[in-house]
Amino acid sequence: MDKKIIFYFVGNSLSAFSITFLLPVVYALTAMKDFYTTIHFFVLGVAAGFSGIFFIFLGKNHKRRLPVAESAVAMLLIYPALAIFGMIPFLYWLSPLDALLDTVSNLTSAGISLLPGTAEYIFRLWQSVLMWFGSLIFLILLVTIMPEVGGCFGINMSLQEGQNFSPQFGQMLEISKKILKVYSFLTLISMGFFKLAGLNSWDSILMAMRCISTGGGDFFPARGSFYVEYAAIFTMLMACGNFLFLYRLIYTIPPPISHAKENIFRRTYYFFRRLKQNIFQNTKIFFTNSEVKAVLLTIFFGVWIIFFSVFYRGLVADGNEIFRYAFFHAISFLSTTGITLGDIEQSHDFEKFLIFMMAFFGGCMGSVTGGLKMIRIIVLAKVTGFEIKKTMHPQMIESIRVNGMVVPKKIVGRILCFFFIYLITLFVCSAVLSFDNLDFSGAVGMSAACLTNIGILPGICDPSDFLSLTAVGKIFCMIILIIGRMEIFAVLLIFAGLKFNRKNKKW
Amino acid sequence: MNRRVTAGLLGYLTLFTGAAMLPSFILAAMAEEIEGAAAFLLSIFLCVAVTFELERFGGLKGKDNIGVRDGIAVTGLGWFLVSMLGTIPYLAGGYLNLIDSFVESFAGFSGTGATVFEDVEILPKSILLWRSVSNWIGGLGIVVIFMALLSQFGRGAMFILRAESTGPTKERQMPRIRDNAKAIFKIYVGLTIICAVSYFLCGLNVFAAINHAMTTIATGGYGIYNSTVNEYGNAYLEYCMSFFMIVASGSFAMYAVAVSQGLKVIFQNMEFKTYLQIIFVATVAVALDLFFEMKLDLEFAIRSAIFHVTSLSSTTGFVAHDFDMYPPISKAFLLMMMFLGGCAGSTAGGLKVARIILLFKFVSLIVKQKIHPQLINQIKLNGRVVDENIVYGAAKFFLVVVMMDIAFAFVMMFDGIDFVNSISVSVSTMASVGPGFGIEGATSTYALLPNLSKIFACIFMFLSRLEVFSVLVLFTPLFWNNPKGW
Repeated sequence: MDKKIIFYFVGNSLSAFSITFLLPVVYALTAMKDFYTTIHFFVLGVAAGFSGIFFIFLGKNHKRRLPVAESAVAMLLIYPALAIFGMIPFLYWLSPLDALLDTVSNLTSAGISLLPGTAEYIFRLWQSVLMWFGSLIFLILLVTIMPEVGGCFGINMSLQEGQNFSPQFGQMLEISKKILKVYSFLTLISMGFFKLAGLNSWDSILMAMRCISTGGGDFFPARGSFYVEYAAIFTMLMACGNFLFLYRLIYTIPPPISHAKENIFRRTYYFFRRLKQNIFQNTKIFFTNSEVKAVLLTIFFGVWIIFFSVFYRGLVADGNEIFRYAFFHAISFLSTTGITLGDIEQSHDFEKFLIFMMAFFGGCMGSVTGGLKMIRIIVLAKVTGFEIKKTMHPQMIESIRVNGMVVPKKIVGRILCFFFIYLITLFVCSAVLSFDNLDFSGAVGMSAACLTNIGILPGICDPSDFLSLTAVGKIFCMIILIIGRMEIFAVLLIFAGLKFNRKNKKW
Repeated sequence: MNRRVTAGLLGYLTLFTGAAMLPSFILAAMAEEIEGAAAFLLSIFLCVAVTFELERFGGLKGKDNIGVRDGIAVTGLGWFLVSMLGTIPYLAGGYLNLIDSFVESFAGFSGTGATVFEDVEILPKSILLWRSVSNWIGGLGIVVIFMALLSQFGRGAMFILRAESTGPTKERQMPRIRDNAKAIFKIYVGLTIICAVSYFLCGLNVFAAINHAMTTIATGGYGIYNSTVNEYGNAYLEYCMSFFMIVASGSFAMYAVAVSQGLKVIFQNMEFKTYLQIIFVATVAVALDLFFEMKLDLEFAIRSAIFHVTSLSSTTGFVAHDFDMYPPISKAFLLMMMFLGGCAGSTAGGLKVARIILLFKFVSLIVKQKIHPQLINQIKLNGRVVDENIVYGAAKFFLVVVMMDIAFAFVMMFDGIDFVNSISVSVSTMASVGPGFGIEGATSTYALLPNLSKIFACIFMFLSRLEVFSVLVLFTPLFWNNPKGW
């Protein structure tokens, strides 16, 4: 195994992570005007940076290629390495284990906030930074390493919308830059929305980071504000999209500037005409994409089922109130953000279970959401329909199409297998957590919340439940969070690789 | 679809159902249970009337062929019709209302064994026998038993058998379908008799021994006492029941082969060995949990663990004592056993061990292929290569079972039942177990469910017994309207 490439990747992640410390440094300097806090974050950032440089040094002269074994190990080591530095600020409020759990949950965009209500704003901001960066790392891994490590569970199929990829180094760097561009761009847009909604600059940054990364958490300024809620809704919807696909759509909108020898008015006219055509064309491409349609359809049905359920029970009389509640929670949980408006605790188990299932669905492949991902749900639904027809026509040949492309039978089989692995992992994790004296619903809820990276499931699993776990339970939850983020398969590869290594077989 | 042939075959099935009610009628007449006798007489009369109507409309002729659609229709509609006719004794005798009668009949024939009677000891013996008979017929399968006893199926009976049989593969051990069905039926009857004798020797009276034997081998779980098995005060009986529940979880086709080739066939069967290993691990885990957490006596803990693990894994649903009081770890293991089920080709419900083996092997294959992309490997079961379509079929079945569990849980939550109870009842119903945790716990009945949930419980019991797809296809317009007729 080429350890150098692993060190190189971990080093680069730490170096990039060190830059994120700038934001709390700026806040401490300008808003808090607290020298001690400024120095604290600055020193941590420098330490992270130096550690990153050290690992990059260890990884110099690597082979510029990332095969399966190295990919799996790198994926699983990055989050713990980042968490070691990320947890240090929280030690002021939490025990080391709780701080580590909070950090890992933020990096995996679960957003399980264990900080007490009296914790200062800078720590909430730091949580947001961790969420944002963790999701960025996930996106980069998704388009570079995960297709190599994944077992053809549908990642390639969806990401081909935007990009081909390979384990070659140069191409990985190019793709990573694209991801960074589109992610940053969307974060800036959402900051703009929150600012327009009436939040101050720091709250806008904090909320934009939490919503675009689908981390969520329990911090939601201006709860009850119509505009802030809809800004959050719009951001969470964007976060459900395939980022590479969005990159392609956004960056192909502006037409190239013509340098032809024509007068400026004609050139301007043609520019705006092309721009209009591109906008319409890309909008059409966006709304005809199968995954986007599936996400919008899921939200539509989710909203109206919750609406009629609440209306039928007569809990709330105001239709607008019910619609706002249903719309916000449907999107919050489909995007696995997990922000609640507080009144969901009172809702019936039917609504809670519905949003629990929406968290399992997740957003588009190539988004930062957790869950199974919509493209797999589409394939699974079509497979079920075909199987019913095949009962009548046993010799029938299956042909499942998504976005006009035929899904190879091998991929269909692998997606079915992934569904099986996902549920077995959920079950095993629930069984292990039940050793921690949790009741059945608590164990299942906690496992589901960690595996789907949603963090909380109202009425089933709250942050206080994590605080009451034993040390072993907390460590296990961290492992589930990372496994869920990495889509499980990397862990299986590591175990299989260890088994092969013991038998002296090279891989 | 050939409606004439389908109607003809359905007619035979309804006649067979009427014949199956005869023992209960005779018992009611001998025991001077006037209401019971009248109810069964009416039921038999209605079965015969339905038979005549169907035979008037349809009927088999010499060279009739049964196609895929006919097979699905006969099996699906046949089960539905038989379950509906099975409600008449409960309804006509005034023992249950309409919806509860449906639940009792569907639970009986599907092998779920989820009763709505809160006090079975006040019921007449004829009704108790009918419950057990419905379990027994439904356990092996109405069609299999009918095929074994009568020769009125035309060519293409394979499609009927395929629609009813459980498991990922639909293999048969003999060239002729009818010989296959006969051999399995003989094993079934033989095991029932041996079980009844064993229970009698363990201390049950004749009537109780026969009833419990029928519901044990059918893995239905209907009992004739209100109390749990532990209250019979007989440890030997518990061990005996555990043994026969394990036997009933094995493939009956495997037993048919073992009759001619020896017992080594059973111990060489990979699926059955895996099933025994799973039972062993679960029993040890539960026993240790009960011993340390609940501070039970060691022998009692082991006996309870063995009993409940085998009862729930075989999806029989007998209860020795209230496992709802068990610690969370034991409950987690018991829930897993419910979901897993028995072996393919047994009377047990659940996912089936063969499917689980295939799926785990599939995962292992994918991991190996990722590490060694040029690897050529195959999935084998019992030493034979399994076609990838069968493996994918197992994965699809897993997917659909989970979807059905979720759908049923949704319905119950909409009907006002809370999250934990909904999941428990849903898993228990789809796995054809019967008892679960919470509202429909070890010592509870389905009587506590609201009416909408009961109706859907009937539908899902029907779906789970026929392994979902054979029933779902009946709801598609394509099944009824295809002009190409194949």
